[in-house]
Amino acid sequence: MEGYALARRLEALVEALPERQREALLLTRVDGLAHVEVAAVMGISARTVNNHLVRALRALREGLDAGMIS
Amino acid sequence: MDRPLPPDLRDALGTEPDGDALAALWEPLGALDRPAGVDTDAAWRRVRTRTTASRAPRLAPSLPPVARRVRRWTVAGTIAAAVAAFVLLRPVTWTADPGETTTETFADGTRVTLNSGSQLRFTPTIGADRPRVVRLVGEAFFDVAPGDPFVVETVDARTEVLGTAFNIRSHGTETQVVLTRGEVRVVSGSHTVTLKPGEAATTTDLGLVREPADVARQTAWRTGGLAFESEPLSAVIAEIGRRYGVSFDVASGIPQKAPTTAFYPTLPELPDLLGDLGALWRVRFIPIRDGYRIEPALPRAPAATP
Repeated sequence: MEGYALARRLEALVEALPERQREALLLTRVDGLAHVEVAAVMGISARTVNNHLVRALRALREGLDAGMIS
Repeated sequence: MDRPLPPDLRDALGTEPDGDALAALWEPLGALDRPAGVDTDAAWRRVRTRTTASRAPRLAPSLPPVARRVRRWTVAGTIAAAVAAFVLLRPVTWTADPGETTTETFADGTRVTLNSGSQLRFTPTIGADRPRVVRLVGEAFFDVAPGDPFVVETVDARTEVLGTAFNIRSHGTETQVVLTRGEVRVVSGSHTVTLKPGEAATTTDLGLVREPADVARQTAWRTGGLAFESEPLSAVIAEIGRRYGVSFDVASGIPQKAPTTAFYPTLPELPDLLGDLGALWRVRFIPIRDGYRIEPALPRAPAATP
């Protein structure tokens, strides 16, 4: 898949993520906050931030693999 | 600027069977974060500056969760998340009430002693042991642990420090910085001075002035003392008001500009202090509700009105 198409599909998949997962992902990846910072913002533990990120990435992976756009 | 996979996440993915496939998404996700023509970093900095500079009172106690602010995968949503990230770290205000001083310590050991009636405001810096910028109204002594640069903002100056100890006095529209240890840089308007221990910087109409300081006197309040150095009556009674928790009502005809210099190593009893000042200024202090009214001293001539 070319970068542009991949980006468009990822964008749609990110939008379809559960709220908390999307939030953790955006704060980490886009805003560049460290886990402890995201944890402070979301009022959860750094470990939970990590769990949200792993689940978010897996959901994105599965979405891409399934060729499914929400 | 691209961001590497955070170490915690990398470690977690290392234990997942599909970890590599998941980690591979990190890079393409980064391609989404800077749509052409939009600089979220700049927006973020603007928000930050505005919020830090704001002297608005406490924010609403309950804010909607960040998640509800990020409804869509858009730059706007991202900025909203960043704003929420900042806003949720609510500004903290430390105050010393009239008649008392307070000392507070940040996690890195930096200590701040606030003089009576002074206020220090800052936003906690996430992931750091102390805020990087604090805003002072009034007077405080800072003993700053070495580490990241630390900035004290006052009405008309910025004081930038590394590990050092110094006093800042900023009532009204002026700022005076007295350095006891280390080095600080004071910036006001287009002027910058770097102080050595024992020097003071004062903002004036003509810019920043650097001069030798009388450190013991100018930090006497820390040990309960009281010192005035060529200060107008208005500044003296304002300080007494803060230190003793009383107010003054100045009658017309009292000269405001008479420079007053006085030093008490320990805080005098208020009647003793007022007795001294009454003699110096040739005034009377008439007790009123919550304080004193300052009137011209009675003439000595017995023919005058009693």
